[in-house]
Amino acid sequence: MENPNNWFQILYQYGLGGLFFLVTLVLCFKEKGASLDHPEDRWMLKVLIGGYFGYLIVHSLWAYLARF
Amino acid sequence: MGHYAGTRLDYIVIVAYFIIALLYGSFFAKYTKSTKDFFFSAQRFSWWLIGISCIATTVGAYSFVKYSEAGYNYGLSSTQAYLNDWFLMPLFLLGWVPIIYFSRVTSIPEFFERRFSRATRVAGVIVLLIYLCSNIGFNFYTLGVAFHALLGWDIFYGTLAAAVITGIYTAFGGQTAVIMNDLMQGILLLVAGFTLFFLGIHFLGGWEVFWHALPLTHRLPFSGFNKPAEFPMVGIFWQDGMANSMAYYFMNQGLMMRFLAAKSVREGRKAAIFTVLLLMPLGAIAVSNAGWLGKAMVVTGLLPESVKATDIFVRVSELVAMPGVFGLIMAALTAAMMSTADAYINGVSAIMVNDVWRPFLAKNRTDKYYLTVARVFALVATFIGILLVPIFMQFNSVYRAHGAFTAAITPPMVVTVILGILWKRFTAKAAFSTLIFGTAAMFLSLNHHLFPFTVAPFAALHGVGPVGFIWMRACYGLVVCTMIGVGVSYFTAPRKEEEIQGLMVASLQKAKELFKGGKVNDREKGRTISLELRTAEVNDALIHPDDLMAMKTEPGDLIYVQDRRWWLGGLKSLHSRAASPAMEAEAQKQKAEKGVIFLSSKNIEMGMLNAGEVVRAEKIM
Repeated sequence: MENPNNWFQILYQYGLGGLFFLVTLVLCFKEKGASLDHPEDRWMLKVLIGGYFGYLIVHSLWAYLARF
Repeated sequence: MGHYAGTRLDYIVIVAYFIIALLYGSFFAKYTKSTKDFFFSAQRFSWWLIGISCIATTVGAYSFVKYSEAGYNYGLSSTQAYLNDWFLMPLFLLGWVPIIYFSRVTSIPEFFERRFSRATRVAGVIVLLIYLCSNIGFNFYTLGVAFHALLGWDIFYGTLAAAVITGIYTAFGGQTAVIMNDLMQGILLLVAGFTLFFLGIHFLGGWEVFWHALPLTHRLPFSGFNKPAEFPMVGIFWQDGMANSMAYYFMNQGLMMRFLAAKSVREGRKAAIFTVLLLMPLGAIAVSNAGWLGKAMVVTGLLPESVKATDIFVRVSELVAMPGVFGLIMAALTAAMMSTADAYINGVSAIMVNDVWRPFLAKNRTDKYYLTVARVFALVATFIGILLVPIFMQFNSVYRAHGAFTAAITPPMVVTVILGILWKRFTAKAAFSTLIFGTAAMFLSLNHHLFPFTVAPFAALHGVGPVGFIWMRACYGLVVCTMIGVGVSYFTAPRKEEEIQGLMVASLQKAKELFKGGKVNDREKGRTISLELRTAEVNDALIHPDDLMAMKTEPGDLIYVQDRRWWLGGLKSLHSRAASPAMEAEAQKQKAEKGVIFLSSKNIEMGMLNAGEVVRAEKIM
């Protein structure tokens, strides 16, 4: 039996999901729904990007550690 | 399969829980004096209360059985549906939450009328009522199934008591009762889920035994991309990660009301972040772990290989739970049902009052009248849910049927909401067409033998076989509904921009100004300060200029005053406007004092605060 892995699934989910994430994030700022001049919106931007990479790192580490 | 009858201690725990839930929920009736209290708890709550309430709503009675079954069959990848929501957060946090909060929209159909047309509102009411009522009945039914499997109780009578209790506390306590009860229930279901997990690990002989008993496929975070066809990663991504999560965040009236109950948009955003980053992963472990444990137990010979996946939650609970703990698990199942159903019941009541009764059937009545109507509809919604239980009992595979039904009606609604808030050019006729023709297209796809051109191309593109078509329906629905919406928009005229101010991402600044009733103070938030509360004949909150400076607040800004006990989560609190010290001194002959906040006795009573005590004040906007 071939050795299963999850790398393609991670690429698909964080690629396609990431595209939706990025497009909507850019639109919210471009349409002036949020602004980098506003302290709370700057904080939100950091949290949103951090959350995206946080989930990506957790899923990647999990997929790697699953074989041990 | 035999039933675990439960010991006397288990029954005591279950009955005690029923009584506590009823008394605790009904206690909050005193906090409900208006329809604003009933539906939105006067917008007073803290982020952590809203967050725990959200996870309690997410986890239904069926979640333990359904995700344990997935956990047994497919391992840790059963968590996928709980861990793929983050992609929606930019639009939800920066778009939808501030739009509904600042535009003071009370329901999704109301948003449809203000953004599009009355016809769209009516279509929205019909779709949402079907969605909400079926979910109430489904949650009642699944609790009955769990009671039947675990205790041998009759499905109908088993769920009746829990349904009646939920209906009573929701009808009398409204949103405050829902949120406060969900706090207790959310904690209970997480504690029970993790207790089962730790007991199971101990029963197996420790973490190392558990981990190495699981096959590699069961330890991975994702299932195969398009195999097995019954649980393909790509299908879960489109159905749960996209369509159902969009439905959860953008069209679930119960959840929307939860965010409207937050004391500010900032607090609502923090609640969503807390939920998706922390509570959803914890919830995924709580509802799935019985399945993982069951698989490890079969591999190590503690359970026979013949055990059915659908029974795994029951079998693992029987095996590892000691008397009392079993009762706790049953109470957690009941809590999961109540905390999901109460949100839907409150949602049905809100739609019936705000979208049917108030605008069409009984206009311009007193708020007290509408509050009574809201309570009656909460009871009616409960009754309809109970009536649906015998209907659900007639189906062999109600989980699958319910999943297909939900996936069929959600894409038209969520596409309408998302295009509506993002795209100025999206027209009223396009929105109505998306709802009507999109729903028709979804129902056509339910029979892919007769209409193979619907889901099949999307499934084929991803290499998913016919067995997995059900998972790809959401992908088809989102694409088709978007095409309808965009296509019709190009042939019809949009509404004038000034008519839809504040209802789109592009006009959020305007929405803020309309909400505040003046220019928005976008400076940093400033400190939350402790002040002594005193009564005075003032119109707004009178605070000393030095304290206003510490709060970075200007006269006219909205402030929030709450009881100094943080753990009340804002239960005793109010919003007010910061008064101009000079004007109040002139008009009311009242001078500001450092370290003191003056409020009128009416305001103090409204916030359920007491003069003479120390309160905490902060700027909202």
